[in-house]
Amino acid sequence: MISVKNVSKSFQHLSLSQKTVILQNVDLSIPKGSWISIVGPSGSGKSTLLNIISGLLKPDTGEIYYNDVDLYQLHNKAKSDFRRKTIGFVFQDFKLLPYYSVVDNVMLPLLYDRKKKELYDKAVTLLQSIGIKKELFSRLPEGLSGGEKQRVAIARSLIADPDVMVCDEPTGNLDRENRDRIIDLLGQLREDGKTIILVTHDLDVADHGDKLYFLKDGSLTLGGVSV
Amino acid sequence: MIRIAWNRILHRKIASITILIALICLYVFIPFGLQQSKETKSTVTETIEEFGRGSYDMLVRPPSSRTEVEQTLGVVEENYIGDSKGGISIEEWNEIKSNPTIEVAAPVASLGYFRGKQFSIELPILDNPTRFTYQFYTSDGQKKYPIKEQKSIMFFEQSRPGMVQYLTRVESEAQYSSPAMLIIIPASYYLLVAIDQESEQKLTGIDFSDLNKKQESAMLKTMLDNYGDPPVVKVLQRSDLTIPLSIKLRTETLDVELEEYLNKLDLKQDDWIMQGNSSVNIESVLKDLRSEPIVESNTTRVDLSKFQKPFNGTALKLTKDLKPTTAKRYSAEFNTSVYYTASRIEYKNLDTIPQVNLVENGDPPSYKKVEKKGESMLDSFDIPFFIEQVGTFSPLTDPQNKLAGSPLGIYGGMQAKTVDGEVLTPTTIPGSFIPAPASGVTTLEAAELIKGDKPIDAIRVKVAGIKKYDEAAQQKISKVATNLLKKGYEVDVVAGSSFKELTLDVEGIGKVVEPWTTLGVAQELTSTWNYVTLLTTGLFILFSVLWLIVRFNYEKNILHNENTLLYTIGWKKSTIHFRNCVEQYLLITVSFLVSLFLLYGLEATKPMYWITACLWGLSLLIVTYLLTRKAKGKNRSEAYKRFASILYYKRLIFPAMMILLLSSLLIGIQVSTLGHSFQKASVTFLGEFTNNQTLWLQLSILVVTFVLGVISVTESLNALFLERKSEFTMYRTIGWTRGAVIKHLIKEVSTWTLSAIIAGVVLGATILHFLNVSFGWIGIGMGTTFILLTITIYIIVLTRKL
Ligand SMILES: Nc1ncnc2c1ncn2[C@@H]1O[C@H](COP(=O)(O)OP(=O)(O)OP(=O)(O)O)[C@@H](O)[C@H]1O
Ligand SMILES: [Mg+2]
Repeated sequence: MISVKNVSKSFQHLSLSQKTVILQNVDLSIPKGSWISIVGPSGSGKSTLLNIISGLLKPDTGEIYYNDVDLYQLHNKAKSDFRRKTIGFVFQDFKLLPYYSVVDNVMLPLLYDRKKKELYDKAVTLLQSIGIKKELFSRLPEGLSGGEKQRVAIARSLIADPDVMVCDEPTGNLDRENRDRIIDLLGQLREDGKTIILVTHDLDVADHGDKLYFLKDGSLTLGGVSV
Repeated sequence: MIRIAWNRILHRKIASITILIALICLYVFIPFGLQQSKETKSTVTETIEEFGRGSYDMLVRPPSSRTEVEQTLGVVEENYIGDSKGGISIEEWNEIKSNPTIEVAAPVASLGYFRGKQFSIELPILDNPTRFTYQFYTSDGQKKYPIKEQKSIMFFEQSRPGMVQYLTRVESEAQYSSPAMLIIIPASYYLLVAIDQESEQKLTGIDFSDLNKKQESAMLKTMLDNYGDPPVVKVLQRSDLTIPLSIKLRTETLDVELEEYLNKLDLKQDDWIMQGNSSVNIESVLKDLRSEPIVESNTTRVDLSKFQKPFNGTALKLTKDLKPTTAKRYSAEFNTSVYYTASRIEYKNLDTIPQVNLVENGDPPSYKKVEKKGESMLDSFDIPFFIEQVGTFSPLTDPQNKLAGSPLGIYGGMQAKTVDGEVLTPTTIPGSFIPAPASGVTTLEAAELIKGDKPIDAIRVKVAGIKKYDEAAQQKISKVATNLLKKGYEVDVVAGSSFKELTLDVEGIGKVVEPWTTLGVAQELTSTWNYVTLLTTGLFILFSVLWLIVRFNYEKNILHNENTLLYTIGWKKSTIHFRNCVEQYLLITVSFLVSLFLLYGLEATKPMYWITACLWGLSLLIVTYLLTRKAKGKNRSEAYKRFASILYYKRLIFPAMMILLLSSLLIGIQVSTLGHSFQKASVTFLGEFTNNQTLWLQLSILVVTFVLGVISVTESLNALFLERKSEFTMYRTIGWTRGAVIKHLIKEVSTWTLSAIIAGVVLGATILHFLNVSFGWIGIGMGTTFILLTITIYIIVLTRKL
């Protein structure tokens, strides 16, 4: 269970001595094992909200609870450890390390936590389970298609077996076919009991969630329920 | 276009600022370093011009008089007037002297070790009968050595004025008389050197006019009459020399009666008991005296040094409390026609620590073969000469130029010391290993009298028409030297020589440090510093050119992706190149202008502005060339198995590695060569002086080097990290702790930075090795580089905001 309580965030403008309010008193509860989708116009603060939920950006006010853990009360190291083990993050632009091979990229989050061999085996299993062909394992990310890149990125986010998957427009850069594969993959993950928080502006994608939220003018409204 | 370029500069604010700083440092410090380097060189040259010339320019000696030490080590013993064999006649000297290119030709003829008159020391009249037991000692500053054997005088009483009753064993010469107990102070032998009064005065500025004095003492006249009017050798005694001499005196109060002993020797009450020396009973009487009970005993040591001069002593007496004072009443000894010559010291083991061995382990020990010469007054009435001290001379105690060495300076005041710093002095015998300065001087006529027709050992020549010791002077000197060489003399150019401390291993004493004269120091110093200056200049220029190339190459590599993008959206190649160049032109020119400003603030000289302007021009050229060159891009799809990031980013990392390598070369070579040359120079006095003159200049060169090295390394790492900034944020996003990112980064960065530094250090060490820099300095230079750069790198990594 993730609770977003009364979160507000605004950005200071450099030139104008003026603040832009992005999020205003946002409240949100995400039950364990559910899939919620957030849609909203560009620049409405979706990424900002995701960053706040996943502990990357401290809100001006409000708290984020993971069960009983207040995320922003954790110390730096504890927060990193917590995030690494609990949250998997997927980006629209994949953010793979250009100089590491596919497998190494997947192993990256736990590089300093686990034994290399064990980690390697796990990465290989993960990659195979999401349909990455073996001959791509030692490739550089540059040599992969967009869909492959995103699947690698998802594999990377899964390496630590996180309970929560935070996806910021994971299909934004993908064609329909690849998009559907990713959706299937996320659906599977939810079936495995993971909580999924997904930001998108593709309503088809958003439809797959349990709940759909709209983010507009700094506040979040429940959009609809689907099965 | 300028606006677009300007925008990119502003966008990469931190990167732009660091490259600006780096460029400004380069533009300011390179000319500054070059200037300092040039100044060092001219300071050295000036110092040598001023101080490089000693009191004379060359030493002319008879053929093959160069010793093995001189040949092997290139050094000459101070005051070395060696074995006094001679070899140059007065006529030959006159010929040299008359040469118009020669200003002064001052001859020296070492005559050997001579003595002057010796006087007595009077023992005090005490209240009770006392036995005086005495022993004279000399000293080399470290140990005391007894002279002659210990003797005793038994004092009974003063029966009336003029009649002191004492008894002592008389062997041969009887100088004993009844009015006082007088003991003759033992003779000591000191080096006597013949000079030409006029030229010596010209060369040294010392007043020798006392040599013209006529000495007509009554005592001398009587002596001359008695000995068939032998020639008188007039001696000027060096005024500041005293003889290390002391007397150890034991006084034992005895409970004896004079009368009893007079009786034992069959003498009457009024007789002088010394008459008993001829009695048959004398041995048993002396034995009785020895067995008398001692009532009270005291031992004192009295230092007589300040009263005794090499060729003239002072008559002394001891007061009742055994303090020495001068005496009117004395007896004297005149046996001055015996003298000694000493061989050269044979230095062994010249390749490591030269060794001086004992020739005779006497008291005091002798390190030279000593030969007795002359005729003793005691053996003959036909003596060859008579030594008479007629006056004194005072060598300048504070010579104006202590830096330049003058072998055969003959008045050398340098001290020999033990390794613990104890000052050693020549002993009173001729065999001392310490090169004694001339303690007395006499005339060349005397030299001819004593040594024969070729008495001169060496001539010190000063070349005419030289004001400062520059290259022209050196040429003049060597021309005169060549002429003399052609005439068959041994010639050593001593202008430009200096002192150097040489450690000797002296048997019986241990390690002794002595100042020796090293020939050719000035030339060597000049060439060493010329070379260091050249090297510094070369290094700085090479560093700046390579730095510019590497740095702009890096810029070009960064632009790679952007260029591809611009090309894709339809820009012309030339427009893209132009845009890139304009940006760099802006940075370079802004740095240049700021540098000019700084140079003005630093009161730079004109050449410094020129150097900066050249660097500016060079930067523009390099940028234009590099940024308009076609990039050869080949893409790779397989990941590297090892060093993935380093190899992937090689276009960015290799330039940074090059800069590290260059910086470590620059710092390492600079530190090592400066240190090495500094140390090499400091061996001689002249070198040390030039070191002191240039210390600040050299330190500032080092600082410049450090700043350049550190700034350029900082800048290149910074640029690289900024380029990969998104990567570091990604690590944080996937949940790494700051510690983990730093650890990851250090692992990667260490690999390539350390390999670059180590490559630089190894390359530097190899170069330095070929430049003959000592291992110690290579170690120090490379160690400094390694530590300095490694610390810089770790600071940069650890302070990174992640
Ligand atoms: N670091 C920042 N500093 C200042 N303003 C920021 C910062 N990050 C985001 N913003 C602003 O906050 C607003 C919300 O940004 P955010 O990235 O959350 O939008 P988004 O909803 O994810 O948009 P999109 O759908 O285009 O990704 C934007 O107007 C953006 O300009
Ligand atoms: Mg977004």
